[in-house]
Amino acid sequence: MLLETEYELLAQAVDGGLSSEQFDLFTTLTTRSPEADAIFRQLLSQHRQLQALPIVPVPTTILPNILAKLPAASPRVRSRRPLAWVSAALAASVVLGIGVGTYFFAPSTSRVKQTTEQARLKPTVVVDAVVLQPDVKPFVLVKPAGTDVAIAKIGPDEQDTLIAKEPESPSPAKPAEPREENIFATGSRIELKPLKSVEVTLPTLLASSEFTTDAGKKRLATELGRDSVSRVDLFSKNPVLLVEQMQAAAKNVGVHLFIESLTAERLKKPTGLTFAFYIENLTAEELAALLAETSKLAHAQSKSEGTLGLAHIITPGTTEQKDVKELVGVEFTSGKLLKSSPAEAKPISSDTLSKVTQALKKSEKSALLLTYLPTTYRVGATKAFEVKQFLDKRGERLPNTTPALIVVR
Amino acid sequence: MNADERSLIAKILAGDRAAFGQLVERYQQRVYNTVYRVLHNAEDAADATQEVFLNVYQALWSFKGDSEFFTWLYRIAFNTAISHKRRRKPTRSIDGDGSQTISLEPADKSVDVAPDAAQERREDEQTLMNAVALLSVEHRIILVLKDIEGRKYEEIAEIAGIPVGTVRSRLHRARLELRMILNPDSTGVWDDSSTKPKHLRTT
Repeated sequence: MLLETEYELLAQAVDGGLSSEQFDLFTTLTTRSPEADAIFRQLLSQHRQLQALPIVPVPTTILPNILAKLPAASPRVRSRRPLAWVSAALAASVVLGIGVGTYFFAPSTSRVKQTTEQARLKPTVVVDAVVLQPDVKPFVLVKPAGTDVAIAKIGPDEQDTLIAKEPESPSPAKPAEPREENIFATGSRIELKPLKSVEVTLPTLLASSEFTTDAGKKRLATELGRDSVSRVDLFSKNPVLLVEQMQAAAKNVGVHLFIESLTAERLKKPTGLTFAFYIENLTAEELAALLAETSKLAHAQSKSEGTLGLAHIITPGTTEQKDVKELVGVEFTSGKLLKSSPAEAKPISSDTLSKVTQALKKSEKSALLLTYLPTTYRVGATKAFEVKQFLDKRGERLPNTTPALIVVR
Repeated sequence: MNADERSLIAKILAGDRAAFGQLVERYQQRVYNTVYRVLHNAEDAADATQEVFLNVYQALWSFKGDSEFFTWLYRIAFNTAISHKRRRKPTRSIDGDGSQTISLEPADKSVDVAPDAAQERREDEQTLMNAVALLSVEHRIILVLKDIEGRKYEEIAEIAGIPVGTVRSRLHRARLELRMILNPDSTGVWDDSSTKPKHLRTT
């Protein structure tokens, strides 16, 4: 009689995806137990039968039926309609608010001068019509009370908003009041002021061969320390080999590496995947040293391998924040550097030594190796055991350190 | 997602119905076959496939390209197949209380035709599919996606919205359960009758 776990092992062996330990157990089981061997053969046979099932031809009526049942509007139009309504409603609210405000806060002297005829043109407005037709974007017509003349057409597009039209006078006696009192009659549009300066941050491209020189290391450290977090893309013809070299480099510079288990499996053979190292508690200089060590190991290989070409350093944006949140579950935002402050210096107390030792233990230099792309291959932060281990051991962020996302592609 | 798919989706969103026709042509065979293996009925599979593509058309604007288009499409197919199965359950119960039985023998056992190798193969296939139809729908879908479609565990997890570990355990249970159905006299993991699926219990 087999145990439940042994049945599971046999079913799992059908894919051939056993770990070496499981494979040993499987071999022992099928050698020791003829029953287990027979069950495995049955499972394998049914698996092959399932794989060999023929493709069932699709009925020819499916495509015409689908096309006949498609709704008239395209998916985009249908999805955008509620948004168009929101913008039209917002625009209408703004216009009504301005109208009411103009009425109450207009100079009292001019209000006194208003004749009964002029009073008809007070900036009291009514929403006359909400137009919604299948092929026309929704818009709202705004008219002064008592007239049939639209003075504003408010729609979802910016160019339709607040186009004020000169209201035609309903009587021969035109109002003598200055036009600027009527907010709708100003005819002015908001104009953008010229920009004083535009700041654009460009990515830095560095050749990996420069990393090992003193000037190259210095530049690398400067670029990596420019912001409180950093992203580095390393381009390689053989990302798997480069990851191996980075693993060795991390060991050489004293960085403890946690490798997510599925990623470790994927690294056993060449794949088209992109991998990422998430590193904390290293200063820009230490990151530069890690990259220099990687470059040294990469360039020690024969030239044909070409494992490390260019490095691309950028200031992380929202994409990286989302990626790190998804992969590691921590915030990865740029901002001010966390500098050590002289105010932190305190007199040595009796338990200082133990506290320092504890802090050093907690804040060891560590990194995490994960699968980065395609996104479907990512293991969420909450699911990966190694991520939890990494987070448990990372401790407090040390001053002057620059968390970095190093992507190997 | 490749450039061709991206361009096709952009055209559909711009209102190009012919482009949607191309999309259907491209994927209908795989979707139909998967749904057919799950629902085990050609008519239901055709209805469900139409429903899948109409749902895709309605929801296409929400496809952000974070995952492969095919995975996204399969997720819709998966949900549609499950809801179709639940709607049809009262009339075509195969994982109900065991009062109804589905024969594992092939439907057509004509003795007038000499059983050649091709016919034997067809009969074996039919027997196998009848057995698959006896699995619970959750197990059946995982088995279809993995063993028939050859999808990866990670893809199945994304399609079904469950962890990879659950996919593995469901698949293993499904394979063992299928073996028990195909070989009723064999010993199995459910020797304790209280944990055995209802349709496999002997009364």
